[in-house]
Amino acid sequence: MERVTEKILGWAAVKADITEWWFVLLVLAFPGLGALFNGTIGRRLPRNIVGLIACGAIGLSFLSGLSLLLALLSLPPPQRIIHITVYPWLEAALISIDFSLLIDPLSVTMVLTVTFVSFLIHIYSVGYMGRDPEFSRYFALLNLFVFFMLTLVLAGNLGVMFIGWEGVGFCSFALISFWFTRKRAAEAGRKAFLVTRLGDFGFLVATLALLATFHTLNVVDIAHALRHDETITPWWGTKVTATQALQMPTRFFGLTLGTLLCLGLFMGAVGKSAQFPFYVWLPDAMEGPTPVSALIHAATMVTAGVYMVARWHFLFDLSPLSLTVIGVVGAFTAFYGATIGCVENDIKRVLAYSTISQIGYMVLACGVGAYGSGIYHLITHAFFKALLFLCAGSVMHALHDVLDIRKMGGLMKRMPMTGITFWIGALALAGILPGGLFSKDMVLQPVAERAWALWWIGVLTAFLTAFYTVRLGLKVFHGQPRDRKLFGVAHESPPVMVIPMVLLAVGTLASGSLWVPIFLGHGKMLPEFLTPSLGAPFEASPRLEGIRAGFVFAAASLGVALALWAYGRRPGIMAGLTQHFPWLYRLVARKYFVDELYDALIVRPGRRLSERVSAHFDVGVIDAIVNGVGWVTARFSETVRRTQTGFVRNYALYLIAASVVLLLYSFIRGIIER
Amino acid sequence: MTEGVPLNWVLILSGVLFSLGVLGILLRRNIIVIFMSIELMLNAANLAFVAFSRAHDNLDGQVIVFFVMTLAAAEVAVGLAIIVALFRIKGSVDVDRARLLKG
Repeated sequence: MERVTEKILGWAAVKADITEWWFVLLVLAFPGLGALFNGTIGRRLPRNIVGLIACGAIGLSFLSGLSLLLALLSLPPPQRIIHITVYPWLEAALISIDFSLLIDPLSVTMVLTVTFVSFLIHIYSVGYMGRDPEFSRYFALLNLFVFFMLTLVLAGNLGVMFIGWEGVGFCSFALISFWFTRKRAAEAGRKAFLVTRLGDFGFLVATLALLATFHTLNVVDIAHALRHDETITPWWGTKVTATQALQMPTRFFGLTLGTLLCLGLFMGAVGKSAQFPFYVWLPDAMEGPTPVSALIHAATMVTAGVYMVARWHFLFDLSPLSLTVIGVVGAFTAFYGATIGCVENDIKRVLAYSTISQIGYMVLACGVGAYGSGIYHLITHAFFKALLFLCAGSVMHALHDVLDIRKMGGLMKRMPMTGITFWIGALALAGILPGGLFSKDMVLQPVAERAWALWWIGVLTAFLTAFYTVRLGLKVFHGQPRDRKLFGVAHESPPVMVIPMVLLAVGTLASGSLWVPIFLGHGKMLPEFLTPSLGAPFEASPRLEGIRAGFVFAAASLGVALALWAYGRRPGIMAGLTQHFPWLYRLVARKYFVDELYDALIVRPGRRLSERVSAHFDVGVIDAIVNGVGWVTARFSETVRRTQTGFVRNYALYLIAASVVLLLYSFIRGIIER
Repeated sequence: MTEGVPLNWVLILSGVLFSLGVLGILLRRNIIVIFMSIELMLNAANLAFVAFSRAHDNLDGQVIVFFVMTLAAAEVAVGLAIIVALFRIKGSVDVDRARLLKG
């Protein structure tokens, strides 16, 4: 076993051998095998077995993740960054990319979050998808998704991360269009894939540029080079120090190479994490099964962008301009998503826009350099958003897939467990209950310190978040039922669905204990754990921290109060407002016409272009050539076929004529040679 | 008189006989006549072989004639069998009637 330790600012990155850390492969192996198993022979197996294998795989993966955590905790904090090369991949003269994994506090935290929430959602799915004919395909894809997500999280370099990145993109596509015979689902899947592709373009360009500069994509190697300002030889030949290389101005508006790299990577994050302007796929992605929405489009895949930014924070730290862009995009998206969430009437779409908004918070945190806060909010959000989606699924299950909240009401009496867990998740989202309250606070504190303008946007968004969340809860679970027939069939969901919800609710509240604000004890378990990966956490002066937190809490409470008043006491008032400002309402309800804009600017011209090319080139040229070959062959054979007359005497003639020719030939040759 | 017929004349005769055989194959419709023409061609070849054998005082030519005759006999046997089979199907010895292989 070979150990090469290198010092990174006092923290040592250890390059360890796979034989010592083989159990990290278990984390990946279990979901992978589960997917393989269920994907191939799952069709013929009874549902119990398929569900058992799928859930069991994730459960075992979670336990493996715990073993990783224990292994990591047994090391002193400075040595908790472990780079493992599993297998060589691309080894060329100038570049070297291997299948390598990185085990450090950040990746282990993500592994545990992903596997735990995944596990609960898998169990829930057994109930939710119980009657679906494509049961095994669903679980195979879900396991496959977890496999790729864990690959992304554990990746030691951008190459392996990209494998995971694309893999989760594919699984997302496959699961969104799970019921692909439904046109809207198929279109939604395609839209998701294509829009995230735009982001992936930036991601790839940045990756390649990074490779050309550092000749490696390994996190630890590039971090090391940057922290120690090593001398490197980028593609333009001259030897420069790493930081000098990143400060090279480029042709694109004079931006430095480092800034462009960061913006390129961030573009990938914008696509994958559904930020403005690449968010349009997420609301449509709600066509997929609700557990899929919970897992992929709330808890895990959409957070991959945030994770990536946190993972490469040392790169982003070197480009303040890119951080500014990130912060602004995050803040804007947070506000934007929240405004749309206030007027949506589809239960899942409210949650989708809420997700867009909350990820905006995480991105905002990263934008001001508080990566730990972003990850903290990622964790709590995973819990309460997954919980909210599962509750939505429970409601849909009971009401035979009705999504329109205008048809619901008073469901608390019929589905108390769903209702209670929903409110726990909702209040956490609103920033009232511990899980979400603390993480939102931890996100906004550094923003207040470093970018106070964005802080005000964040506070306003918190107000709106509380408002639309309570609005949703009231409209679904309280008040008078708006559709008596639907209300009549509503029933509580079976335990297989309720228990995961309860556990997620517990998890939501418990996740608050990871990083507690100062006025409640200041427990700093999470940020201290993440220090080797992300650097020292944000520290504010206690008094300011208290004031700011109180302000945010007040804003959230105001939102709650307003929603209670508007939808509880005075039900007609909101409708009245929409009458008074019809243009504003229309603008927001139609999502600011962004989808229409994209359709007009990009989709339609693109389709026209491809239709024209298809008609002229594909049909006109390619088909012409292929058909032409066939036509020539047919004509030729028709001509030659005329020699096959069937006449014996013709054949005799050919025979004799040929022999005459041969005879003449040898005769003439004989004469010439004389 | 002891020198016999000049070689060239015998060869010309052989050639003429051969040509007549070829023409017979090409121009006659009756299968039996075509067969006779084939025999004529074979015999023309035999004549040429014997003529050369006489001219070069080499008995090899005459040995070949034995082979050719045997061959001709065997061929006639098989060929006539085929003709009889064909006649049974077609009811005619007209070779133009056998057109099943028209492609």
